[in-house]
Amino acid sequence: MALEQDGATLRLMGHCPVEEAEPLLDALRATPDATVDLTGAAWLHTAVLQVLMVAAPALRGRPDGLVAAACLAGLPAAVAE
Amino acid sequence: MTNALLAQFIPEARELLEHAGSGLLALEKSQSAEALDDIFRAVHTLKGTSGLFDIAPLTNLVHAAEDLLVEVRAGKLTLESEIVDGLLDSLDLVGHWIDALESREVLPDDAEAAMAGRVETLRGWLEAGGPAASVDTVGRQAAPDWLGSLPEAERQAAYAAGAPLVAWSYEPDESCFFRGDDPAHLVAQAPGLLGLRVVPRGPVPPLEAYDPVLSWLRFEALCAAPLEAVSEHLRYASDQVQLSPIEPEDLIVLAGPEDAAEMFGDFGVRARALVATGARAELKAAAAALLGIIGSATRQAAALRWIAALAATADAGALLRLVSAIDGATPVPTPASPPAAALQAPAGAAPSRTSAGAESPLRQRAEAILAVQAEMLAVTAEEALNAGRLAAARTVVRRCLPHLAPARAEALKAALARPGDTAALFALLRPADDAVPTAAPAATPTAVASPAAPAPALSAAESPDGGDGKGAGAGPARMLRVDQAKVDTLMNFAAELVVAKNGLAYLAGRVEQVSGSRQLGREIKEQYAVIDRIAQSLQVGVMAIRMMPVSQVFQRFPRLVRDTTRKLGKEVELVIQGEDTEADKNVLESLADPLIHMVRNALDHGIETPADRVAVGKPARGTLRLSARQENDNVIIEVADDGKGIDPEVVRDKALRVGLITPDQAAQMAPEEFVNLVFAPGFSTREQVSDLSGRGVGMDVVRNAVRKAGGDVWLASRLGQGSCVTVQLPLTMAVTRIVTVEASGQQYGVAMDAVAETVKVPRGQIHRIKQRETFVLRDAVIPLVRLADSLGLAPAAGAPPDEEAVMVARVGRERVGIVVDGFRERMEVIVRPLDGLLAGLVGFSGTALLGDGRVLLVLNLPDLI
Amino acid sequence: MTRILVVDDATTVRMYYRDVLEEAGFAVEEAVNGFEGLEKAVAESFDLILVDVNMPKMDGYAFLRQGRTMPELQAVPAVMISTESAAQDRDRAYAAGANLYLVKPVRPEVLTEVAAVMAGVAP
Repeated sequence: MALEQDGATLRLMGHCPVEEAEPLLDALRATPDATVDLTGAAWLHTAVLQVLMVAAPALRGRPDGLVAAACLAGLPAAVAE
Repeated sequence: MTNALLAQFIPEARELLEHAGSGLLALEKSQSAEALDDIFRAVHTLKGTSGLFDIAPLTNLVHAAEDLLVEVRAGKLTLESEIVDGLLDSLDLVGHWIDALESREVLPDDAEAAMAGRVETLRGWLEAGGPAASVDTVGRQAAPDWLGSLPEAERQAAYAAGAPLVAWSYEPDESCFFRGDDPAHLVAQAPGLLGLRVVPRGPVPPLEAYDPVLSWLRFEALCAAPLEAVSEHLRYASDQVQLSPIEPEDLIVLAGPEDAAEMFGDFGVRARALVATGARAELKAAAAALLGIIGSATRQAAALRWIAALAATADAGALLRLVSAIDGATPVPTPASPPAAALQAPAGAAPSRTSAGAESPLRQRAEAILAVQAEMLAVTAEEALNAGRLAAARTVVRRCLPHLAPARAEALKAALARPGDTAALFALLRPADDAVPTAAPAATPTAVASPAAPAPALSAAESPDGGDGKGAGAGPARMLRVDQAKVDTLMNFAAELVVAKNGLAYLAGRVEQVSGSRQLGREIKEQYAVIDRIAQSLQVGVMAIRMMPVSQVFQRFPRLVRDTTRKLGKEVELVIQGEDTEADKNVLESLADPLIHMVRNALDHGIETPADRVAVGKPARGTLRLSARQENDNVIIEVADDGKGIDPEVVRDKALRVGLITPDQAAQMAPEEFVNLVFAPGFSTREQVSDLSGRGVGMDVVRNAVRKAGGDVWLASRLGQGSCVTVQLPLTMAVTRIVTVEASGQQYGVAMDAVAETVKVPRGQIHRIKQRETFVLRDAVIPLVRLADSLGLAPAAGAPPDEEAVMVARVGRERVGIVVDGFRERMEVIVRPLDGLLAGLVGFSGTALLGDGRVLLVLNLPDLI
Repeated sequence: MTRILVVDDATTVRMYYRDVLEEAGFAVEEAVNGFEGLEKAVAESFDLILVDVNMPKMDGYAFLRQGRTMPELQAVPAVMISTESAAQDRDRAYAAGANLYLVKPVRPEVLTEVAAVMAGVAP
């Protein structure tokens, strides 16, 4: 499973395919103050990136690469715990 | 072929060059529009033809010459002798290259550099031609207007990388995820990617209304790579991509408010001196120093940052232009217009995608061509041409038919058969609309309402401008995109109405009982019948809006099958049948995931490797059949493979081993019952399944998902010959017809779908076999379950009746008799899922509100057996 | 046999289309400008017409417009092949009666697939 929830932290891990977009959206709707932890995410499918762009949660970590950076540039970074 | 073609090209190119050359000389003597047209056409033809060969410098140079001639022809530029000389020199250079092509079949090594110099000269005249003309008007070299929006650092990095540079934008179409595309991945893998901006293509719906399966991004990217490499990388998305080769200079886009400080004049004087003396380090320091004291958002600051970044490497000309941008001596042109000649994929001609299955290899192409017909008819044209344009479009549509999905072809054929109904044909042509199965996403945020009656105002003869094929308004107007939430609301009201009207039937009964007025009761019943009819029509109408073809779920499978089989090293032919079968959108959505699971299982565990297949005498290529059909109120989906099948004995042994069944139970079970044990929870998870010669990964998950949607799933398999998983789902989920039954004084609802028949069984005919009560119904032994026992209720008081009321229900393919105390009424209700205190209750699928306000528990039969 | 008329003033381009299309099993006839194209198209019947934009005597637009008003030609699918990719050029082609607009150079596989669909070769 590429998506895990731990309280207000949603963790995306490894390769996150298009199928993760819907569960992620549901989780973000249900958890408005969620922090999304991307430290373990290797690749996010476009659909997943789109959900993050729309919901704009605070992010912990960002996946490597220009594409993720360009998509997620506007999202706040999570405050360190 | 290329060589023969090249051999043809060389004399033709020489002839065209000669033509253009002598024309230019003649034109210099006396201006003549006709002569100019001839020159232009010769150059234009040369440009077009040269594109057939891998000789980009030649094409680029001829292109620049053509652009210059366009300006001359438009009267924006006077053909002075200097320009004529420049054009003639360029034509001479092209002549040299043609010689080189003839002798060596390639351009000289220095062609690229020589071309750049010439193009520079030609462009110079264009720029000088007048204030209106700028570098932007030089077709191919014009940079896209969004280039300046890329982060400055990324542009500077690209400048440092130098030519070749390609700026490109990519707008993946809305439904691209359904084809398995991952645009971000495609972009990330682009050769030499240096800069990227990602923007929404339009307004993005808020989180509440957001649909995660639609694509809405636009990518604006910059690659330091040859145009051919980028174009090759994006070839499968070429219809969604705009490519523009750009020059490093194009990257210098200075934005921001003007700063009119006097010190910029001082800087300008000093900087020019530094450039002239080659003191680049000082120039960089001067720029950095000035940057430290001015605001960073101004245009001047941007120019200074560029100077600081480029001081060490850039040529003097570029630096001087930047200096001018700071002190205002001559402004640097800011690209503002979109590229005039950005390389665009052939309009509407999407590259064909390979796909498994019975699909025509030309289907994508045909769909693209169909879409163009709608586009073409939508373009306003002279009245006299419209009949012809429509006739030609109809020919094209007819010829596309054999390549299309059968359902789509049928629909188009029907529309073609009504020559007057242009609008209907038009509406079908657009793949972008949700109505078209092949391109429509399975879960859009909108439902599509198709008006039941064709809109007569849109027929060709009556269209306001009289344009026959002029469907500009006709296409979109036929389809209505509606927010799904609105349809759902309407659906709920329709369903509430159906339920509320049941209250009238109850009221009629009460009137007869309480007031004794049969007449009044009858009148209420008559009124009830009228409302009932209207309510049902309303409900059918609303449900029809939500109905979508199964193809929406099926369409992702050609890709999935191809990818999976390639990974597994298997050969599989995918056959899709009945994809035009329709079902409720929610039902289809609930089907999507289980179906993927089943298909993967069939590919993974069902179908053998080509070698194994050949060894047992089967064709190397396996077949996977996905079919859909409607049966009564159900949609039946089958996933069938001709693989190795499942060995019932292996399943039985394993089920015994893991304690899923007892030896006693095993003794009573038929082989087909064993194979269905793969759906049992806990069957597949305890051990690797691949050694089971069957399938099993998560089949319990599949069954849960299907049952949750009110359906069922079962499996049939023949060892060595293949397996078939059948999924049965209700066509709609909204309103359920139920019958109420009584047990121990309580009433419960049972979905009518599940009830095969109701019978009275005399006590004497009920036999006990092993632990179970059974009775014989038309030669079949049917096990009996007592509802009161199953629900843990106390048996009804009083002596047992002579006859038992038995409801024969279908659970999967099994028939089970359920003993109740009696049957009550039939009605239509909305079954609401259990929530709150009731949420954990086993044995019930939900609750329903009755006409008299009571709440009824609706039984979930599989739980009870 | 499925017949295609190629109308283009560039000999090399016509030869390219001929090579590609004959290889794919089509019969190809050539015309060097719009006038000649109309003459040939009326004299013999074709399943598909490929037409260039810029030609002497009669250009591609005029050819298409003329063709769409002639009973013999009006229902014959036509593909306009141009060097320009701008939307207004494409729309001009559609207004004149082109059923498809392709930008040069057209790759062989695009050409054969388009011809197979539009000239009416069953898969």
